[in-house]
Amino acid sequence: MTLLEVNDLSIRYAIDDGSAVHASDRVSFSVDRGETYGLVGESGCGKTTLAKSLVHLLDDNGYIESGNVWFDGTLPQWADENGDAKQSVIDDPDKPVREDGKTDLAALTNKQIRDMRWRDIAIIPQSAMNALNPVYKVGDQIVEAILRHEPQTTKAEAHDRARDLLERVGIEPDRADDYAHQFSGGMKQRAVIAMAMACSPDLLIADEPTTALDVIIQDRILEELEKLQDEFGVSILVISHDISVMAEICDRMAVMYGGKVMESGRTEDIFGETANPYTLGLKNSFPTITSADQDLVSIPGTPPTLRDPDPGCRFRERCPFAIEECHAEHPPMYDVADAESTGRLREATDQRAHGSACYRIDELEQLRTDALNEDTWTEQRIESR
Amino acid sequence: MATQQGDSGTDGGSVRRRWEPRIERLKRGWDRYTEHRIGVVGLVILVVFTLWSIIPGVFAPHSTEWIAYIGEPPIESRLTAEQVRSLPHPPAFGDPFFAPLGTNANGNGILSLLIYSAKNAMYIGLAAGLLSSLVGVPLGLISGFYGDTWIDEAIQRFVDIMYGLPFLPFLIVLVAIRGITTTNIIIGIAVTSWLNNCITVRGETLSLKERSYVESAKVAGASDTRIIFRHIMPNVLPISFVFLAQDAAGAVIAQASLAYLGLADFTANSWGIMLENIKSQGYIFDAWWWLLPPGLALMLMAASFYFIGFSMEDVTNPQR
Amino acid sequence: MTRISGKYLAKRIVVSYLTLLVIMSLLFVLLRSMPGSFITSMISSGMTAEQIARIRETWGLNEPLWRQYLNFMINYQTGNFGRSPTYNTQVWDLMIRRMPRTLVLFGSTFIIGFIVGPLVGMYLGWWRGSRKDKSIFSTSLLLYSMPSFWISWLFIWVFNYELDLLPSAYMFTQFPEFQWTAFTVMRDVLYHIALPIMSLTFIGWVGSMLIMRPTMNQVTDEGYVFLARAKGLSERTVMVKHAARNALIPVATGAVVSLAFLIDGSVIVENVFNWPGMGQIIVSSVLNRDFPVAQATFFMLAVLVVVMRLLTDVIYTYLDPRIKFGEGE
Repeated sequence: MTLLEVNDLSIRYAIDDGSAVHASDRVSFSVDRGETYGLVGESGCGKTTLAKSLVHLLDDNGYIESGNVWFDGTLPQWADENGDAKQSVIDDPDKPVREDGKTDLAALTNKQIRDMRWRDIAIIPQSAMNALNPVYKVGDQIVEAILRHEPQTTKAEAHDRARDLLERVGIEPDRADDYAHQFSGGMKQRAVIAMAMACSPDLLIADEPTTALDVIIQDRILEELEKLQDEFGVSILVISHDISVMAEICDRMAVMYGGKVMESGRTEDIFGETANPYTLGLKNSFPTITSADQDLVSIPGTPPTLRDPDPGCRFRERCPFAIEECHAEHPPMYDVADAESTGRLREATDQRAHGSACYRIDELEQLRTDALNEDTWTEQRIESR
Repeated sequence: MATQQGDSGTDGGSVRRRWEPRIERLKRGWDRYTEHRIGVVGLVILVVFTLWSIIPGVFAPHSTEWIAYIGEPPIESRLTAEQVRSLPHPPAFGDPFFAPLGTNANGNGILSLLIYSAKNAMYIGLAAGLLSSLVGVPLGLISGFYGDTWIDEAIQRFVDIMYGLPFLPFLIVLVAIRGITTTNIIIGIAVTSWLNNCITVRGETLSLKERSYVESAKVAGASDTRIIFRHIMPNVLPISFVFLAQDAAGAVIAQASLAYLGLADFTANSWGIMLENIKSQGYIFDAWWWLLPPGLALMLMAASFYFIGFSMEDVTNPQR
Repeated sequence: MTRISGKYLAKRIVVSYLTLLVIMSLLFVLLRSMPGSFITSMISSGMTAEQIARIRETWGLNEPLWRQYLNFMINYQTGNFGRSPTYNTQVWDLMIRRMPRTLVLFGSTFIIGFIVGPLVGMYLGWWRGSRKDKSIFSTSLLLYSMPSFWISWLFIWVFNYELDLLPSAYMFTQFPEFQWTAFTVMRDVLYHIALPIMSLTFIGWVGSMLIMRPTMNQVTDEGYVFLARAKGLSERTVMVKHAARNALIPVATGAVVSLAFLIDGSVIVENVFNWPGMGQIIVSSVLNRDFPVAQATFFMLAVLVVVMRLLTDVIYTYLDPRIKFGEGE
């Protein structure tokens, strides 16, 4: 069952000179209940912006240009005793609630979305290490979240729950009375995870959950997340540039480049049946332990600035396979299985199916073979095209 | 970039290449600066005051010796009793004389005094600001660079001692010792106002010292002096300019406060003395044209320094 | 509650004490370097050499300078501040009488300034760059640029001379028509202190605002502010509880700097309003070369600053749980 359905979401940052950064451009994806979904891409590709925009946490100059974020859950005052949207609210044309009870988060006001933050969607920020307030006890910060969304809870109950949560992520309950500076890096990360689970949200957004940690602790944190997912049944939206982490934990994922989804589908498909030049390049540039003597090949050039971009394919400047068509318009999502079996391009209709935004997926075999060749990715070759 | 280095060989090109980024940086800084309206306003005010100090004769309707009813020196006649009673005279525009901001009790034109006094305030502000930066910045640099050694400890204890001495009374003592001249007032202000610069620069240096480029300079065997002046000072200078501006503002006010207490160089024209005169001659509440202009001028000059300082702080703040 | 170790406190007290000793020595030298001796005012032209010698003897001026210095330092250890030639009274009594008056004026402006300043700084820093921030910030800089005696005059002009609402000088009504009771005394003092406090706070709050504004602006980018928002807290709670609470920490450090600014301000304001406090006599005693009084007033103000610094440390540990004074030394 779908928990979150993002449709054609475009996010922009206004710039003083009147132009705008198209941080995310007509992005669509969906997350099922209990599933781990990944957004992967280089830094600056718009994945963090996308995640923050779901709960209106963009910087001041960022705004949602268009699109919907349908979420299976609604404001407390619009819900019946089961937590579903009331029929009267669904029928009310002024309220952004759909037939199936999903609410359009993009259409909520800031005041409204505040009631849904943390209660329905918790977010572990990129700098989780600095996310604990240094002047308050860690336990009190968890209690604050509980009391905000469940005002009927007593303080003592909330404190008990905070201790219990800390224990669940492997921190001694008594440490609730400590301050953040008394915690190690890994412990801070766990404490933030515990805090995220305080109100048993349906969706947990983890922004680069492991980037600042060393490898051993990375692994433990990932295990922790998986354990919590089993316990609470929470869906997790992971954002990372580290495709090896993503391969490990995600059920499905989307590969983003320059504010666009380049390829999406099940994790096995994306890594096993890679169908996009960008994903091919990304795979090349990451080491795998199993093939120790593999040469790493990076994609030449730098990501585009996204400031009022032209309509062509976002990746074409760095793509060794770019053709005339790529300059005219960014390709739509094509159904990969279809292209492979029929050899013809057909726009994907099912968001879940393996899709790729490339005009040349009808020649996939050729692309994959060429991509393995180091020469393909040298700067001169791309520039001389 | 390796590719860019290969293609220009001439000397002119290399000079241009060396200076271009700096000019570019200056230009960008200027653009950032002009984004702040108060920064621009501050500059405009300062330019006006600078012109007043350099060529007061162009702006002032009279000289400072001009006396109402009689005119410019040489003074040959005396004021009648009736004329004396009409002083200080409110603004007059030609009848019986021309003094747009009125006169003081001696019959001097307020506007002319105001314009001729700009030089004094400007001189004291800039000199005292510069001097206290010259004391505070190097001491802060040294203190920060040798953080947690006896050198740092000694400088910091000295700062503590200076903080224990109330600024204005201490200034009075200093000025009294050396005699009341403009130069001594400037020295007195500098001696008492370098503390904040020193503390801020020290803090900044302490954090700069931990940066990797300083570490690598150390590893490369650079001497302490080289590290301080070559690597740390360029990064500290921008905030020093901010402090220079603030100290200048503080000095202008301090000089006026001294004048209020009767400690001013009465041979020079200054706004502080104009205000001292209105107090000692007892016209504070009777001659607004005499009370307001010098105070406003002091305020505007100090404010222009603050405006410039705070706008510059924003330009030099690497975080924004 | 605080995390200052006894050892650290003891060390700080010793250092503060030594600082005071150095300040006193410095003062002794400086005051005596001023032209004119403090008995100049007592000597009239008709005096015989013998009479002058007697005066010199009475005030201990015939002893060598080092002896005078030693006497001075030793006397101060026992609280013996000497006699004032101009006020013709024990300096200690003068201090006891005047210190509370200064503290009332100074303390209330300090407290008001440190409530208003950080509060305004909080709002301006939170909305830095907005039109409101720009206009309020530039206005406050204008206030900060006013000479304190001039703004005092303007206040007197408006509230005393024109409106006749508030008295412009002294601490008490000179020839009261009412009975002196505790209540009327309080009311009378409040009535007289209103204008001095207004003049002083009018410019005095800006100092702490100037520290609060940029630090507040910096913490808005911190991870915990983002997380507080993500938790669904209202903007107000995020600003006050999470951002401002952290931004206050550097303001505590800056308190000492603002203190110096306020002392200057109150020296001037006391002189303008004839407020019979320390600020008034510190100026007159220096100008009249009344060394015992000058030394004592400087000493008391130095003690005030030193005590405030100690207090700041305590407040600091309370504001920032990361700071532990005295551990790891």
